[in-house]
Amino acid sequence: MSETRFKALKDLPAQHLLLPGTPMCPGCGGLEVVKQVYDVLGENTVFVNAAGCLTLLATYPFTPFRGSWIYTAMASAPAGAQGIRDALDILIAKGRLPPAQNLDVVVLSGDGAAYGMGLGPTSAAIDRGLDFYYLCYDNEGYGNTGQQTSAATPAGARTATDHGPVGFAGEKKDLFSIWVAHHPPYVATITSADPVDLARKVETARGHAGPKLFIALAQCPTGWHYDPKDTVQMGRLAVATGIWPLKAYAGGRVTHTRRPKPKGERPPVEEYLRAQGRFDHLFSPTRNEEALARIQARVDAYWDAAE
Amino acid sequence: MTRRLLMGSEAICEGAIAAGVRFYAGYPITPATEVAEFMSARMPQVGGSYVQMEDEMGSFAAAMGASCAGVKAMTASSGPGLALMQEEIGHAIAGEIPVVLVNVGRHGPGIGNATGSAQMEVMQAKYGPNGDCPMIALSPSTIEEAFWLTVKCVNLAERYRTPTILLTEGLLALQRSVVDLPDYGKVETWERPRPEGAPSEYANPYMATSLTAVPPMGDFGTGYRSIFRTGGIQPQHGAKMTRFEAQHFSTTRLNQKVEAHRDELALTEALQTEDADVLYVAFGTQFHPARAAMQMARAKGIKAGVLRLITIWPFPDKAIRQAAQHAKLAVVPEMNLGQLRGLVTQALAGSGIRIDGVNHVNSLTITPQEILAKTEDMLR
Repeated sequence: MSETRFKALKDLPAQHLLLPGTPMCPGCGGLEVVKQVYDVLGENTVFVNAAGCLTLLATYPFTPFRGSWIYTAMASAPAGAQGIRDALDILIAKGRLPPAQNLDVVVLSGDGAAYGMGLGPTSAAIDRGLDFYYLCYDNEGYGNTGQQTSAATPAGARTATDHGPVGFAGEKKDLFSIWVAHHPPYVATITSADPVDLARKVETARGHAGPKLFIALAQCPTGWHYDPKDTVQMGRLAVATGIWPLKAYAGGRVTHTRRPKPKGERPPVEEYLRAQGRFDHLFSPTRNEEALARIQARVDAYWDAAE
Repeated sequence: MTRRLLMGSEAICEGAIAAGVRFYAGYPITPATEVAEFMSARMPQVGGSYVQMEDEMGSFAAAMGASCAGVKAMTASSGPGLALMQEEIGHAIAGEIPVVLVNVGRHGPGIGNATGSAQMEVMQAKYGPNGDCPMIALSPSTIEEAFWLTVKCVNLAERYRTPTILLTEGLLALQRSVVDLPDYGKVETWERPRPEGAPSEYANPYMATSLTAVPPMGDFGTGYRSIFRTGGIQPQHGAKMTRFEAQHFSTTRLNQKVEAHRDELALTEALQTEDADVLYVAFGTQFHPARAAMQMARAKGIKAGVLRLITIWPFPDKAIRQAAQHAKLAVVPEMNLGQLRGLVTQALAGSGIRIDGVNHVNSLTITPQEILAKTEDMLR
């Protein structure tokens, strides 16, 4: 991806498009991702919002966006994007909209919609080859209603509906692979804690027509129970421990854009887990060695296969 | 008896548990999320099951599945979630599958003000699904009553083999109050009619003998083979019928099995309506300002009375006519733009009684002063 204009932090846009002053929680990782993606895409962007935390970015008449925004039923944001894209194409074809004023259509979806009820409509939009961006801000639970278990909740996390001694007993869904199985032009995972990697991926996606899909780790101080000042640190730990692989799919191939250090040299996953209250029960009153070993083994197995 | 400080949502959950609900399908939505959260903690404690679903359609369908397998089941939602559930509610009505749905009212349309309380589903509760549907919907005015009406919703769903709705509001579900909870073992619970003869004699869960019958349904896995259909139902009531006659019979019976019991289902509470010149008709949380307005009016020499609707569906039109016997005017305070007022107007058609409303769609509760001011305006 050396073809992009973003090689170092100093190359990132100096002006931020998303205006300050939002009702989001302090330290919201999702908001930071939107901010960074918006800066790369530019002002000619229209957002389609699926119900989630970021709905709060358009509590009329207050919004930090410079352009337009539409809300659909929680599952149907990609369908809303279809209508916008088609209408813009018609307007351009008829000469009623100058091509320079064309808009990028961006779906904003939390993991509740993206991994759950919105998965079918996303699949359908990919099937139709819709030229749009899909940005899932994944905070691993239904954050806007108080962090109930979603299909993106990771193993062991305690949520508002999984209170037991083991937390969530299932596994986090591999949405990246599900999307990749549709063979869209571009799929990537990102984190705001690595803004250069993020900007390079968004820039690369711009070169592709069709569905361009992103899953962003959306560190969530409110739902994960950590100090809001640690949001960036939490994203860095997720990458360094290997639990959040940064990767991209294009041209039929998955590439890892950042690699954690080899097994034994990289920090253990428990450094990431221990930093968050939602995993407290894995450490106290007694260490749940079995659960910690299982989580670590899964991360190791992932990178063993990815080497 | 146990005295506890309960949130409205918690009282609803406790009522469901006391009535025998042991399956809850949850999907978060403000302001109904707390019902799911409480149930996620309580169901495992009582040997029940809580499952986190992928959306509201899934929640309702999961509850239907549990019910068909013989376990009393519940789900809850609000606003857009209730809208999504409508198709499933229709299937449960047609399939005659008992399910309890808690609707915690919030402002709409669309996402509206998610944290703002409202009473905007009076009509949707009955007319939300496609087709001609019966509906039993009850609305509590206090947290303690939320417990008991949830028990009743569970019982009625069972007795009439149909979905029932506890129609409540964010304002009530998220408040706390001291509640005297009964010994759950002493709470009266009703069961759906189940087949009693040999499985070989059981044909299907729609073997109705009359237009008001509630036929027995066999739980999955008990040997009574039950095919729950939502269309093309062939009743077997002894008489030969054409396909068209059967369709007419089935659709009519679905409604008649509830309508025939309208009088016992239509619960109301009348306060000083015997001599009332002015009738206030209110439900849910807005009963409280109506009652206060009545007291203020009486202090001023205006003979006011209140009819509180406990049952919203089937609509208690007879009770309204009874309460309005001496009334010259009626005022309907409600947190919507006049859904109940329309029904009251219909119930009092031809009576000559002037009817008006006090309507809030700003999520703020109506005040007694506003109701009194409207009354005095109308009396002028």
